[in-house]
Amino acid sequence: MNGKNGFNRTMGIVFMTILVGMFCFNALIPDKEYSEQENRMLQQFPDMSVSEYMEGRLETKLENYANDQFLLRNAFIRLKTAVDVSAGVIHTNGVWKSDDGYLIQDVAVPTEERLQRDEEAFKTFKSKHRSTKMYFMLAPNAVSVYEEKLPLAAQVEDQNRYMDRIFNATAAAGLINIDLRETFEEKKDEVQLFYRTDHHWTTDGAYEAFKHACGPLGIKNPMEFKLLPVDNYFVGTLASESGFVGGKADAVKIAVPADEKLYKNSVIYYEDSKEKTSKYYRLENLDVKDAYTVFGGSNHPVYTIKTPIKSNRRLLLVKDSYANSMIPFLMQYYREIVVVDPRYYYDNVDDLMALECVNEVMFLYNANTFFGDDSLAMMLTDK
Amino acid sequence: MLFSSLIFIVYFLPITVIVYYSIPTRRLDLRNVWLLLASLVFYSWGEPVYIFLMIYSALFNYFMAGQIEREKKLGGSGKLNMIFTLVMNLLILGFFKYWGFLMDTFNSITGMDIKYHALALPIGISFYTFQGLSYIFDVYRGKVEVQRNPLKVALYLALFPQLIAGPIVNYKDIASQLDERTCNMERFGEGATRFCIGMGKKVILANNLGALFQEVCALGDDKLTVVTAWIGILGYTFQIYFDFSGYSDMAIGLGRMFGFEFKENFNYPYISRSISEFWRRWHISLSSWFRDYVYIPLGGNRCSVKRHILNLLIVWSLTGLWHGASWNFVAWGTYFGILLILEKYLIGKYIDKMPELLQHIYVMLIVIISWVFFSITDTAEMFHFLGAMFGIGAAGFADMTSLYFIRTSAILLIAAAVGSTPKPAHEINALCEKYGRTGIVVVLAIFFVAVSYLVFGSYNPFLYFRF
Repeated sequence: MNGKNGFNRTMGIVFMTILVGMFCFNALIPDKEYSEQENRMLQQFPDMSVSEYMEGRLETKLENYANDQFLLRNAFIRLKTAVDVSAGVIHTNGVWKSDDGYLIQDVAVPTEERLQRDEEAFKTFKSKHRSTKMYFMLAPNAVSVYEEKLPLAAQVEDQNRYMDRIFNATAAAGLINIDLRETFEEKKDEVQLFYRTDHHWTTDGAYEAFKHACGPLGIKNPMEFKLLPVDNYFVGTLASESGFVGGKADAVKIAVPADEKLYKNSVIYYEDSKEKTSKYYRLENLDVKDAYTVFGGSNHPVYTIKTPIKSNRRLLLVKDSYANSMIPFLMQYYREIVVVDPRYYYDNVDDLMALECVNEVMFLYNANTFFGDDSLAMMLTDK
Repeated sequence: MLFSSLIFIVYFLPITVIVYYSIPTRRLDLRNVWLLLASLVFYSWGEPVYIFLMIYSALFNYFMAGQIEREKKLGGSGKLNMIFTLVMNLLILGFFKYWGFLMDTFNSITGMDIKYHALALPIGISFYTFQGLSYIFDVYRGKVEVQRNPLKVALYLALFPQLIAGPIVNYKDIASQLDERTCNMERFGEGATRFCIGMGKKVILANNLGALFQEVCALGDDKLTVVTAWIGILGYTFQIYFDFSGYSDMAIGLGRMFGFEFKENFNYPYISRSISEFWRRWHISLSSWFRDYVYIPLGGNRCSVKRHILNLLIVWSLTGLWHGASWNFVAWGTYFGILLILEKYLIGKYIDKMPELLQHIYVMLIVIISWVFFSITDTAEMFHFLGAMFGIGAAGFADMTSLYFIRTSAILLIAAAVGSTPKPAHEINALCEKYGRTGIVVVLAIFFVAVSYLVFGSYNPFLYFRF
């Protein structure tokens, strides 16, 4: 390789080889259907048609195909993130690269309109069911609990302001608030309340929340649980969302009663799959990408949990996925829990309450989902 | 299609290159036909309708050039036909690019509310219209032979490397290359190097700088401090340079990969020491087009001072208007026109005597301010931003947001500042000459990092279990 000409010739040969090689490999290697990393179906090679070409749709599909099926896609994504991080980037796709291996999700900010709608929904719903006791548990997110772990100069909204506002409204509507913030503030250094690479709370976090809730819920002498790790290498959705590597893996724990003799087995009935089971934890899901589905599987619109205990408490639990790791603690205190996820439940909730003879209602949400999703207000105000 | 897309790099470019080089060198005619076909696919990508407009434009200019030449042979001047061709070209450009702008302006002056539906802007129309006109003007002036082969006129207008964002190639510069050009591995490699570096400038630097500016613009008025405003506009200043010059590099590189030689379009404009020097270094193909086909025909500077000032104002407001159908672009062009007049007649001699550092500060200050009204179309927002840069209406001097931007963008901005001087390119060249292998590794590293940004751009995690 001598001088300018030698360089150019070699570069020409190398680049030609790269072009031809990239083309051949991308064209010849079988296409993938699904990306675990991104958790979505990938674009397949589209059918060619002139009319689709003229409308521009075929081009879009071909572009998506070229992008989705790009060889070594995940390796390139790691390369990009590595370059970003070395250039000082600390925030991608709504995720902050934070201290101690934490990836922390931004605060979901509700619009004024959305807040008013939620406030109104609670008021309307409570006034329809005056005699039913209602609880409102709104969990703060890692972004406000572990705020000190955010990188220097990170810009986040004040989650507490929105939580205060909605707590005031629910109290005024006649709900009993379960505010975890003080407890979490006390426990946060002792116990790891949130996963490092996932937006959920840990089973420890859920257990602390449960212990705190026993007072307001009127649960006396709650049963002791041991939390046992079933997976030590859980990497959650925030890692795939941001592409940030180097977040520390976490343990996924399940709760087992400290004293088996006191424990009563429950029967869980999933309406959507018509499946009846006594096993809440889905250990087989540890092998799939999102190990959080160990807690009751993926999202179900509605299911019931019946436990043969003396009490006649029947609870409607309106919840997001934070509840999934807390349900095992609650099961022992209710004869029946009807679990509803408003994001997938489209029937009338008043009818459901009458049908199942529900006498208590609990709303269990994390602040980010609560403020970022409007299906709850839709469900509550459904005529 | 864009150069900075995976479909271009993985499918379009390899197929075009493989077929092109499979055709024997002696069949340049076939190679040209193949390039024309590829260019038409490239152009029609995503919005195929306008391909007919471009083919029409090519054929129209082809026939009219023939007509002008015939008239000249018969002893006429061809002037009427030249003017007719000019008007037709400008009408097409005007209809597709300026119709909405004209109607808006008309409605706001007369207070009427005439409904209209402005069409989508055909990609590259400003570029290929100007290329077509340069062909017509040069034929009219007898500077070039008329082209007998319509495919070659079409190839000249549609050649995909320079089709979408220039450089504006003059027919006289490329006429001989349509008939004869050298394609070999040396040139291919030279072009490939240029292409990779251009892609790095566009994808790694410009896109991230653009994101920085967008982030600053998205801040509420209560968060725009002096420092934040400066970081934002510096982001834009470098973005527009690396975006545009990166695209030009890719065009020049791609051209070279197929044996074409285009003229340089940028020559480190941000190291200029006067505004007139800046415009000799910025978007050279556009300013020389305006110089050759507007400024000089108007009389240039060989006329009275008054006329010269008028000529400059005309040329620069047109240059502004060329950049986009909106008054802020006209203002931007006129702003430079006025500054050039000032430099020429009033302050130029003082600028020349200033220390070099002050000259650089002078040029960059004027250029950066110009980008404020180039980038922000809304007048009120534009003045607010401009004010905030100088502390008027700013939310203080600096705050945590400024610190965040400094923390996350310092490296990017420094890299951009260094990259707008000739130094890095010079170093890379020297490296390639002396240590070829290292040079190749560096160039390919730039290429693959750029590819990784493109891959990430399509990275789209779908979190249906986003609880």
